[in-house]
Amino acid sequence: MRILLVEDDDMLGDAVREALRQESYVVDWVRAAGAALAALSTSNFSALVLDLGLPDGDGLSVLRWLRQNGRATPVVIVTARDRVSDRIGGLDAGADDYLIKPFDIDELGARLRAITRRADGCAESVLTAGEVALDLRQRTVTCQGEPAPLTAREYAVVELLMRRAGCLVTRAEIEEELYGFDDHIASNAIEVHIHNLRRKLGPRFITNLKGRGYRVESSR
Amino acid sequence: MAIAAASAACVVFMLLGLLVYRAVAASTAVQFDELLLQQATLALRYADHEYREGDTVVPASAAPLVMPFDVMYQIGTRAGQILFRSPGAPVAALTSGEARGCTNVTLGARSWRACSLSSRSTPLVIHIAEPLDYRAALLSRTMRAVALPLAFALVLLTMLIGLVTERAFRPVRRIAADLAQRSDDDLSAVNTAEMPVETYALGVALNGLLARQAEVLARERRFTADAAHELRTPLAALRVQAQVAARATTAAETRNALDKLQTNIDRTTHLMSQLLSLSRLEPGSSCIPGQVTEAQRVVDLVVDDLAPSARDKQVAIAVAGCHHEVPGSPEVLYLLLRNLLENSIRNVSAGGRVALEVARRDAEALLTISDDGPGIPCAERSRAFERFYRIPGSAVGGSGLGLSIVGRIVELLGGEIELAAPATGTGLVVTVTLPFTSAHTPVRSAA
Repeated sequence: MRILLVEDDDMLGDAVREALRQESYVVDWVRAAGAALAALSTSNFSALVLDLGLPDGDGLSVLRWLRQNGRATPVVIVTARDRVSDRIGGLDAGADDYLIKPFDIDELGARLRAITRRADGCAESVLTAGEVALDLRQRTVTCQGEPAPLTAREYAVVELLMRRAGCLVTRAEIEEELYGFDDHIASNAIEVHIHNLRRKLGPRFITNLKGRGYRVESSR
Repeated sequence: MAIAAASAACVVFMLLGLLVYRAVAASTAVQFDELLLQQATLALRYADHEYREGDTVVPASAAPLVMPFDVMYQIGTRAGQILFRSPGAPVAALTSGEARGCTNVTLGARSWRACSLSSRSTPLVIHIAEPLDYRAALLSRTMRAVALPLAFALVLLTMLIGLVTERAFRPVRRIAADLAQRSDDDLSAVNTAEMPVETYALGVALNGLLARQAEVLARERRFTADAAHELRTPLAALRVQAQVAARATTAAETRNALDKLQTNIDRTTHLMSQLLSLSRLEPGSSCIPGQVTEAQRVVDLVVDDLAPSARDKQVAIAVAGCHHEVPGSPEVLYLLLRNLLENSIRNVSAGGRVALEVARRDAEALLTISDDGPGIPCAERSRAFERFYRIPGSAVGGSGLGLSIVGRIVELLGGEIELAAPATGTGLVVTVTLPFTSAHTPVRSAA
């Protein structure tokens, strides 16, 4: 899952990015509202972690831009503004959640999971497809009940495909999900990941729709 | 105050009583003497008549004139011979005077008022005397009659004074009661309605003070709220960093995370110090006017404290003119110079140039801090002194408070500060002007 982190403070931004990466998220970090809008214009993100006190404007302006343009990207606001009126204002402006600094990173993680789950219309914390089960909370994958050792990126691919189970996911979409602005993507990286996943989770898990993309069959 | 007024009234009344007494005494004496002399005149006329008739003045028969009270008299010659005495009158002449006149004489145990009158047509003289007691008795009767009304008037006046002062100070007492039962932070104005003119000025002055205190309190509260707000982000960073360190799986990761945590803590500590400095510069802090400091002492300290960070970036701080004196205490000058120089060191690139020059111009000291870093764009200069405002693009690590502190110090010292670009190249030139006399209104200008 790809997260856009909007935070102008260096220490906090670095720490949050580090923490989210530890949880296998792909994190793009911008420090201003302008940069955030630029990133949102060019890419899709699974969720936004949005600070409000930005040097070139209020974070709420980014949120409003998203909602006015019909983008349903889940947003969790992380801010020092602790008044009840601020919280109400943030949620009314379209945020899915509101955290006050300082916060527990585990709690941020849980809230991110919750809001992305809601966005998928998926209320469960465990996704299944065939013999493969993905636990969203633990961020682990089992095949036939046995835990499957996946790399961070492999996990990300599986999660994406299983969230969109039954739907076609293009190569480009997978790349967008996996790689931040600063990452180098080898030309056949996706194929390598898919290949490895077939090896680990069974050959019938992922269907390759030649030329168009990949699909995981839904259990239902 | 009512007591003082009543006491004054008492004194005035006593003085009044004394004056009345003297006036009455004098007036009664004159009147009594007049009456006595009239009687004397009458008796003398009769005696003259007898004398011209050839009779020895008064025959052996009883005195033809009956005098009122205990008046006694002697008819005699100018030579001093007494021809007739009224019963009870002494043998010797009552008075020695020959012309018309009255004196006090003592006969035995009693005091008498004695007058003598000489006849114009005969060589006769009359001495007449009456007891002084009668005058004293009349005087005391009169004074008693006067005293009662005076006392009554005094009591009435005292009551009126009490009433008036009570009414006049009722608003003051009301205010005192109001203030006594107020909560600690209630600084609302007191009600000056219905206050008499004399105490109105006090009410107005009190309200002025309350308003100023309320302003100070509000400013302190805003400051505290701002400070707490600003500390949330560094604390959030510390918290997350600690959790990252706890989750690290390799020793290298742990080491890295803990290093970052340490840096975070140092940065938050720096923010705390800046906040403390700023709070000490708020109104109510003492900044002794007229104090001057030799620049060298403070510059040495600042350069010494900044040496590590300067060394890390291979920045040399050039100083000049430190033999001059600068207005202000060593503490505020240290804060001023340290914040400006620290900003410069932080913003220049490695090997950059930072310079401090102290100069004297007429009655002002000039401090010029310049560097060859990115400088501050014109548009940003007016906001640069705002608390917690970080100039976009400025280097990492600042608290956003440095220029606020500098600005506040300049304001306290009654000086001016100017941000400008150097004549050539990029960089920042900060010029601080501090007057050697007491404060005038401060101005921050952006060139």
